[in-house]
Amino acid sequence: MNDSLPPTLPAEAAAPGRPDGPQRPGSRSARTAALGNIRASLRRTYLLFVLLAIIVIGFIATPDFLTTRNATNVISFSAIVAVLAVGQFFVVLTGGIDLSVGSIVAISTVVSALLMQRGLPAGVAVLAALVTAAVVGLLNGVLIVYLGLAPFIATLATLSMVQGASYIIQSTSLIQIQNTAFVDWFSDGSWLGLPNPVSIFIIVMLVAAFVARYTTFGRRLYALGGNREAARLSGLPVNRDLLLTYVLSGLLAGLAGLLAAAQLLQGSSLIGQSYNLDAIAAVVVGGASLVGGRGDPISAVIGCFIISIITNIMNLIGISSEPQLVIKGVVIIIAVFLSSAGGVARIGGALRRRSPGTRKRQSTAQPV
Amino acid sequence: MTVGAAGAGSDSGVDVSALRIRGITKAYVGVPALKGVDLTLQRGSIHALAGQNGAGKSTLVKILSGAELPDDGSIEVQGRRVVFRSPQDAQDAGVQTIYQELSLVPQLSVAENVLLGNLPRGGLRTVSWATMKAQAREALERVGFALDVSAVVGALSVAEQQAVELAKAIHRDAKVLLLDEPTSTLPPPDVRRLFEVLESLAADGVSMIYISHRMEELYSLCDAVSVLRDGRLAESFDTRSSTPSQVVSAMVGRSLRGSLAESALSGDRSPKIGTGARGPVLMSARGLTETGEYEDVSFDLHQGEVLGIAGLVGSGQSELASCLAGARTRTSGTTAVDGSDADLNSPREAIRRGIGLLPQDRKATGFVPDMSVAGNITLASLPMFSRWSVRDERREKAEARRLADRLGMRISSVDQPMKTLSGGTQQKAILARWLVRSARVLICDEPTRGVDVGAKEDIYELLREFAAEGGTVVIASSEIPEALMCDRVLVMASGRLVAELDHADIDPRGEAIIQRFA
Repeated sequence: MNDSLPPTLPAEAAAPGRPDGPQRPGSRSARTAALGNIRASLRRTYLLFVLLAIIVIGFIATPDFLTTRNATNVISFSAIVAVLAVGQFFVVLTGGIDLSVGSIVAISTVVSALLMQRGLPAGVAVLAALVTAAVVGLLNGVLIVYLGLAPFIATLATLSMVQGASYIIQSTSLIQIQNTAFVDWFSDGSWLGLPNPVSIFIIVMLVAAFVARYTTFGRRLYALGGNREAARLSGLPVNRDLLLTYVLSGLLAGLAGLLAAAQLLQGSSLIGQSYNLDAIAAVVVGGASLVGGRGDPISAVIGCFIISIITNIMNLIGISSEPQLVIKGVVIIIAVFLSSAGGVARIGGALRRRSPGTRKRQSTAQPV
Repeated sequence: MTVGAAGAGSDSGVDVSALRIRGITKAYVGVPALKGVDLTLQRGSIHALAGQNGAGKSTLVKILSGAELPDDGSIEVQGRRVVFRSPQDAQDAGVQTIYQELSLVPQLSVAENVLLGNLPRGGLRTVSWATMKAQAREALERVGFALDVSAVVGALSVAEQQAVELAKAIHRDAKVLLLDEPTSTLPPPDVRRLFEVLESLAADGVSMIYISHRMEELYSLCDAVSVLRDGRLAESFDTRSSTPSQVVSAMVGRSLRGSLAESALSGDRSPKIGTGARGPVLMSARGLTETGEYEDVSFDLHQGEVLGIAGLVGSGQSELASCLAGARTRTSGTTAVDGSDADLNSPREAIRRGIGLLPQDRKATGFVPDMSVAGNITLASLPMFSRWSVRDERREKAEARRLADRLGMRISSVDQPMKTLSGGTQQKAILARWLVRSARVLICDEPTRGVDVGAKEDIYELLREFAAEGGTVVIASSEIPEALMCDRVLVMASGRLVAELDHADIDPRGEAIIQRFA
């Protein structure tokens, strides 16, 4: 049986019940580990490929696309959604969803703008905004974990409550931001040649990727999302971790709000309404499963950029906003079908059924 | 190699076999699952299919039921060549499959389930309820069960649900029935009844392929047994002129004479897993009650012993076991560990005290399917393999590899996702999870359900080693042979503890236990 296997696949144990002889764990496992990593990064490679293809399309479509100015605008704007996408990724990883992030962005802008208007230093305003955002996240977590509400329902309710609350706090039509330090930190300033928003989202993305991949917290979240009961039976602090995840999502939404406030130079309860769909779309385009247990933060950010660049191209070409929404929806369907819903495998399967008895295509299903 | 066994009641005039498959070959991404399988099924015959998980049984079932296309080979139903491009094609050709998990809609009535997909229409294309009920009753009659066709299926017992499933197949004019492990959740009296039904169907000319790992059943019901091993048809036996040991040996490819698993399968007296040791009281339970599941259960668990909790499926032993491991909350009662009160109201609590659970439904609660084997094995001991919350992946994998070798797990790498493993290997991985933490007590809930012969043997051996090294084991099981392996057996019936038997007091066939089930 071992002879018929292609050389790259490790040979199966010959004798049933016990593995054959002394294995050489180094070479065999290293090969399979490499294969496993390749499969995981295949998804990411495919995503980068798509991103590249879109950039090429943009370059062909309009001369305004590949300019420094446009690129800076797009990336700075995308930074906001990218930070949101990272927070949403962790929530989706646990099999949940956070619909309230748009509103948390709004209240974050309002709280920070208000405090700075009253003359408080930027640092205090930032802290207050982040604390507020984290508290909202905690509220979400409590509703979901201790009241047992479905995440969809709980965060939908919070969305509404927080938007109302930010409007009440705001009390005027909008609050101007004039604090130069704040604007410098979160929008105009740069560090080592990179605009601050860019540095911020890159740092957030890298830290998140590290946490997800290399820390015990990350491992616990993957387990939680993959099979909550198995995680519980293994003694993992499921409730506590879920709570933390929603607090984290809130906190990152708060940070995104600070970026938005600095960019728009205002605090308003109307900011951020469209961010919900964008963040969730970014996460699923990036290959995470809404059922939980799969994906990674970097793919979510790539997903975010795929969507925002498509939007940017449509803007530059001059497509008006309503057709843009239609196109965005179609793009999301195609992207999700191909990545999360296993579209590539299914298309292959359907083609195979057309011609029975041919050995060319083999099923990718797992043998039992 | 083909075997045509004349079934009970096969018609003399009809020579055409009910089902003939030739050269069925199937591979998944380069890994061959079936390599040229030939099989002939005579009309009215009940033909058993045996084999370990991974031998190709499930793949063959998928192909015959139309869920998968073979890469090569042919299928003939009643002499006519057919190609199943979907389950619908298979059903149209008269091949019906009864899966282990059943495929009924619990919220619908019996009649609706029997006629699922075939609802009879009345005027204005509405459903004709009267016709539907009449047809459902007719199908049930043929199966020999009288059920209220308006009853909701979800409220029926497993045996009754199975009857509905059979009625559905009969209504669709089944010529060939594939039965996949139909008795794993049936208590003994219902098993006998099922056999009567199957025999009468066979007498009517329905042919059957019966898949099971229970030798006594195969030998009492079936005419012939075909053994799959490593994707090939290894051997076929006529049940009148062979023994279960031969079948078991053919399944594994070596002689298992004298092994624990073989005894368990062939119904001989099972050797013990326990050493008979009986140290100080490790855990004690008083008045444990969970409304609707079990009531007023009290017992002591001694260090080093292997305690069995035997009962028919649904007698509460499973829920009791989960409660002892902190996985279920009880309504009342107390537990104590090492002499002091211990609430054990969460898995974390139990794990802290060295208690680990091997849950019954592996797939649903035992492991994280997409996560690697190493990840699953170290899941309960993450702090052990990390510093300041950063995981040491190398150490994790090294420990996982060490345990995988020690437990004889058939894997190519500890990075494989858990879902790609066979049932037995998955169970070993869950066991490994507790060995990593040097757990003191292993609570096993139906430890070898869905586990193939070779791995069954391994698991019993591992539990025996664990006990020999001073560990304590609790085995909640509905399989009598497993209860017979323990030092002591608590017998449960309808949620109550009805007897406490020492190994020495139980006869080799376990009658002492079975009697108490009533």
